[in-house]
Amino acid sequence: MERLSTSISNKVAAELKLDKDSRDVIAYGAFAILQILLSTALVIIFGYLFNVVVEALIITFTVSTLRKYSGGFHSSSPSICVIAGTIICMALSKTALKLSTLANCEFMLILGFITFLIAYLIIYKLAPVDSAAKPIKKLEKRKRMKKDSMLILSAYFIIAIINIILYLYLGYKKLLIYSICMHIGILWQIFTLTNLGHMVLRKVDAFFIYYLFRREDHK
Amino acid sequence: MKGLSKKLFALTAVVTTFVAAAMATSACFYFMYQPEEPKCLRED
Repeated sequence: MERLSTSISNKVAAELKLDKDSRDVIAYGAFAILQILLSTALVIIFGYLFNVVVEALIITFTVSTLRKYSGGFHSSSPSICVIAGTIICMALSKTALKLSTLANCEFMLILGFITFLIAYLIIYKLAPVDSAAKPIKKLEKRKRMKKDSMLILSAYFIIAIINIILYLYLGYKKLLIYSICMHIGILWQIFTLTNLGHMVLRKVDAFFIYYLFRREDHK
Repeated sequence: MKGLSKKLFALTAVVTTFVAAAMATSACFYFMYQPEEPKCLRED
């Protein structure tokens, strides 16, 4: 992906006679587009294979929207990110389906209370969690991102309440299942902000580095 | 044909720059990997 985005930016910059800064920006944007497309395509393909397309997409969009402002753990390579991201997404979707057997109003209220209590506390305490590749040094920007994270979390809270109300009126159980997916997505994203989350995901990252790149070394 | 490819390159430049600028306001990318942000997009 990095090679492809660099080659796109080199070609565009050469054709349009752009400077180095513009070329870097194009490479960065092209990489973002490729990563979003590839990640979403894999989630849809594997979601289809495991029969959890809608659940997986809800979890992906819940996590990535909150992640945009709250940050979190980052893997060491785009390949690991896409592979681990897809596996985690499928595992979370299957967990959501397993939990859906318990789904009723009381369960949703308890799950919602626990999820949002933990999420508000951790976001208030830790967000935004930046990375070495994109440090957030300005206090003003940190405050803005914390506020935006809180706003997104509040939007999820409103969606969760609307889902319960709609379920009470329509009796459509899928609404509760989608709500469970959203809660699981929030809990996962919150987990990636914590020290424990970083520790666990660093181990996952190390496992993939060993498994993927060790094999490349032998070629 | 050359004019068309030039327009296509210009469109690619506009779209990718727009996406890069949108990503610059966030703490991280869509998934779990964050490439190094170009210096000209940094706010600090």
